[in-house]
Amino acid sequence: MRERIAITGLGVVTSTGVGADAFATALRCGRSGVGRITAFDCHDFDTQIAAEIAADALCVGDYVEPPKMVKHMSRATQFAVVAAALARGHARLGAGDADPERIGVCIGAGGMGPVDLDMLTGQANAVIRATSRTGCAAFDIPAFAKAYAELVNPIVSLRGLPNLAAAHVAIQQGARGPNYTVTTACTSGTQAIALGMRMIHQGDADVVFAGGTDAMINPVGVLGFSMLGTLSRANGVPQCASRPFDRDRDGFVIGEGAGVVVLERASVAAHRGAPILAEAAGCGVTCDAYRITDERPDASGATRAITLALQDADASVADLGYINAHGTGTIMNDRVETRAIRSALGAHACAVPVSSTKSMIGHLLAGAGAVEYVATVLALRDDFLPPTINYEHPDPECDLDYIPNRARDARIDVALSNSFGFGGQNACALIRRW
Amino acid sequence: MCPDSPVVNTAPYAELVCTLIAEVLTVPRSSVQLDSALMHDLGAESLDFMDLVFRIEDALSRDIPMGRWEQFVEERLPCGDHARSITAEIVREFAAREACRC
Repeated sequence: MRERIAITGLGVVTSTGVGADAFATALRCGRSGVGRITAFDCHDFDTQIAAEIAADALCVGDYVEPPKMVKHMSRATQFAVVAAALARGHARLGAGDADPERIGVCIGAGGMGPVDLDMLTGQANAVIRATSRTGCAAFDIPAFAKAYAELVNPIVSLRGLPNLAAAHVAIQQGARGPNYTVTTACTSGTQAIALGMRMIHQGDADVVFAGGTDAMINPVGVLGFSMLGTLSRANGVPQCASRPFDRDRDGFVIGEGAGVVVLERASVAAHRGAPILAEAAGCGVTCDAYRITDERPDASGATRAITLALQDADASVADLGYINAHGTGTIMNDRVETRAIRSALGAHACAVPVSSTKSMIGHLLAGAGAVEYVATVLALRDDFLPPTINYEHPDPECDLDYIPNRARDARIDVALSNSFGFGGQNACALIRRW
Repeated sequence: MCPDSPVVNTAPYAELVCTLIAEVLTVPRSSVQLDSALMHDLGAESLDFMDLVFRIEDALSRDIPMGRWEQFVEERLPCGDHARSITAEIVREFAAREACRC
């Protein structure tokens, strides 16, 4: 019989709140963090909205020692480091409470293109300088190389490594155990938590900082997803743009931020008298092995991930009290996910409330699963179900209880968090009242 | 190097280099002295020297060949010798280069 895993700390950085309690309040109020993009001039973009972390929402230097380490961190890494520090404080995990060699880290990270606006600006300026020198409209690589060396600080390149989020979390937390990075697009955060659980089950670690982070609100990130047709273009009223499961949904809204949880071997948590928030009870991970952005029409891959998570936790569909959906707000995801929930839960599907917190905080991509896992733990802790805001018109193909527009008071014992990624990866995590 | 420049004025470069070091290491300017040991006293790591070289080149707009300053730093910072100060040497080197240009 494997040992239980306690969730002892939560840390989040989102557009609607930094820290578990602020985030819980925002979820309960149904507050939207979506607004017009301020990070760059987006006036000619098809999509001009996102859920950004405001510049005055957090001071990263307050969480980093020594302060110079901030310059080595991409925006996504900064979010992960802050979330991990918050999670540690929440878990009241002191310096001597766990053997550093038994503390692991597992972070979901890594997107497409430049990791932040600084890096993109440097690369772009190098192209401009190279072009002005050669007077030639074509891309001249030797001229670019010379300009690049002049304009781009060599240390910036290291920020692009996806594994640096996990590395910096380890440096800040003194975590000298196993250290993994999971890069499976929108499934990353949930898979990182699943892998963190396995690290404890296998005996490789007693405490794991597990989560995910992303920061893709830059011109390449927005253009990339926009040109793929996945982003909402409802720029008129930004806070109403993200409308998962609504008939009139037109794509997701990019969000940014991070979520990190402290997973802890039950005996270790008990020994130090840790505050236990819930049990990390199970997970299920599958792959569609089908198309890159299309999900299997029969939803079999997602269905199996839900079923495996229930089995892993030795739970039944009748136990389920809430599902935090992947619920991106694209036509296809919400339809196929509804199908998967129906398929996995059978007749019980109608009785289980489902919501998409992406309606409020947008889609955090590699960070999404982790932040939504935190939201699900908060639902269990605080006895409420977060709403799907902006839900106005039912879609005949999305016919579950989506907790429209208002949070609901409810005491639940078992909840599920779903994530599905481009590339076909599916991951579901089951959380149970302790 | 320029063997015929025995006397150089380092003062204009001392302030610049110390200011840049303070920026690179995110420490108060007042904590950086010409005899500061960057690693031992101020917590520098190897990447910080690359950052410093980039900022010095950028600030002085000099066309210094790639690798030239990395070599300079490595020669003066043997592996394990964290206590050695190189700030003053960096300043002297810059001043000497300027003197050669005149």
